[in-house]
Amino acid sequence: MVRGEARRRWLLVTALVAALCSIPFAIAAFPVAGADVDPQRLRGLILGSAERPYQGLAESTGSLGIPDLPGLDDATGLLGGTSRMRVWYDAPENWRVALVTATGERDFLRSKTGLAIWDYESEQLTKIQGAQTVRLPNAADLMPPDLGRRLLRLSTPADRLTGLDTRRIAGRSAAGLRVTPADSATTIGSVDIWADPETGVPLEVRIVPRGGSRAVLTTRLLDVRFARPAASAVAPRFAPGVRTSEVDTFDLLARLASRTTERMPASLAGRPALDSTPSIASVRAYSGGYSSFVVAPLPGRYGRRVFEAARTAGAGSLAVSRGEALALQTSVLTAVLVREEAIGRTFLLAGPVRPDLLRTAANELIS
Amino acid sequence: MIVTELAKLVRRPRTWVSLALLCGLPAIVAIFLGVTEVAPPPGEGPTFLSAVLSNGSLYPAAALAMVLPLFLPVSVAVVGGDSIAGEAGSGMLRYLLLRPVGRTRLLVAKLIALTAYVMLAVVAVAATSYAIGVAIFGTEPASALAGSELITSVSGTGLSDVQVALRITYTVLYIGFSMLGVGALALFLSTFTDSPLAAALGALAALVTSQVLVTLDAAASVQPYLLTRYWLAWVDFFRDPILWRDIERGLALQAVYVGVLLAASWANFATRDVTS
Repeated sequence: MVRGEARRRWLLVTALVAALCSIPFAIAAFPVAGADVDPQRLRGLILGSAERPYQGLAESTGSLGIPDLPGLDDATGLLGGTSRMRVWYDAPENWRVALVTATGERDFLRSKTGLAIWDYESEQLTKIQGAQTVRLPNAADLMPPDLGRRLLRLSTPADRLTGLDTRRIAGRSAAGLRVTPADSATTIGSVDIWADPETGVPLEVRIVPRGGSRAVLTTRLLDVRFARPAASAVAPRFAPGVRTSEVDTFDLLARLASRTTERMPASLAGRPALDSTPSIASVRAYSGGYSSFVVAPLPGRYGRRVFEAARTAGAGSLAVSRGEALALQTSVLTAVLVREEAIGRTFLLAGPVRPDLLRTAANELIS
Repeated sequence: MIVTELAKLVRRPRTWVSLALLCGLPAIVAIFLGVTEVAPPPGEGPTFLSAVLSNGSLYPAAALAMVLPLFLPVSVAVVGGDSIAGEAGSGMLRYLLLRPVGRTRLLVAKLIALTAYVMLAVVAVAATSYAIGVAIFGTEPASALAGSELITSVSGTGLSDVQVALRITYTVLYIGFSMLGVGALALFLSTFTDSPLAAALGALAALVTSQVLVTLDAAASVQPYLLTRYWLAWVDFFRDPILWRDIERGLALQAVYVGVLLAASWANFATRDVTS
């Protein structure tokens, strides 16, 4: 009698647990509404979505595995781990992205007057004067809408555009497209983008390396609302007395761009310097499409520090005609450091390209 | 039955000893901070500890951050593990059940006593740390501010005293509710054994496992369902605007754990052979 009663009670509990455990699977299996959109049309929708206001929460997961190099920690951390960002996007020049950590927060606030960064860990509000033509990636660059549009703008007519199955992302049916780069010099195998078919706002972006099947960078909106965010959320009023500073350059790359005098050539490895960087002669990006790469001269002592840090991090030697070169390669990103000891010049070359391309460029730089 | 269990909880010296130990850690830290005036920089050490040097009204949040990872769950696991196993271990369970009360009712009474202990512990930590914080650090505006009765939120905006008090109250309630999952787990294990220590250690083993998996990228697929996954979401009360997503999920997850574990406790205890 007691045994039967016990069995009945345990059965009840088991049924309860089974019902609760099945909820996530049931939600995942719930069929998505048909949102198939022609890839070319979807591409146009995405590229034209920059004016759509939205707000929400995004999560990016990167496994680029770039070792920490002096001065580049923030960028490498973003691309090699999981980050959560809140976003209030009103317009291309009026938004706020908050990089949320377990015990702090870093806010990027864009307005017509420029960019401001609140860092809880240093209790500091930094206002950046002027536009940053060259800078390191930050959390705002990993927002799916921004990254999706930027990656699509890099595609060329030669790249293959195909449709992907509709998926549910942030509670919405999202139409997908895949760009497969035609340029064999890039290490990017494909760029997958899913976007809201009504607004064209990208909800998820994945970068898959050439020859691989798993994305090395995935960024997706977990929650999204297509409504204009409150002005107080986009541009909150900071507490009176908060320590504030004004700088003209914020990160290392921007400082290099503005303070080094080394002139970069107009073309490298047969690739022309990008039109967007003619005013910054010291840090230049070359070629176009997905096989673009950037070259930055690293000043004397700092250059040596980065070079030694790369060697410690296990960078492999790269044969160059003069000087010494080290290559750090991940599944997508390749970075080459080349040093010419005789005159103390060090260059950093980086991009989603094959190492042989960067070696050719390095040889030309130090020749 | 419920009143009896609550009275028993209040009368037990170990209840007050554990509360004293819980409140003691933040007090010791406050004294060290007050004497040396050396606080860890923001983002390092316990959350908000850096902000309390010039404004003690935020010290309850820092104190809860100190006891949340270890002290609080240990004390809740010990009390939860003692609920049924303690009575069985001392030979009292058989006599308790001789009274005209159902086992389900006894279980409910134990749960209510456990809930009371959890809330008492969290409120005690918050209240004593507020008193100590205000006494040692004062309630002047935080170091970054000037001429305003504000402290800085994690997002850089100012929070008034009323907002701080409200958000600390939310934090107390959230952490208290989060601890109910630990308590329910210990209570569940307590229905299987006559050893309170075994039940408490079992609950702590589950907690440690959860804490390890929460930090492991390879376990990302199960992380949203881990008992400790959303414990730190209380920090989101101090963002501007408040980030509710993880808080809501944390509350829902704890409710599921409490519900399932209580149902399992009931299934086991209601038909168990009580021999001691």
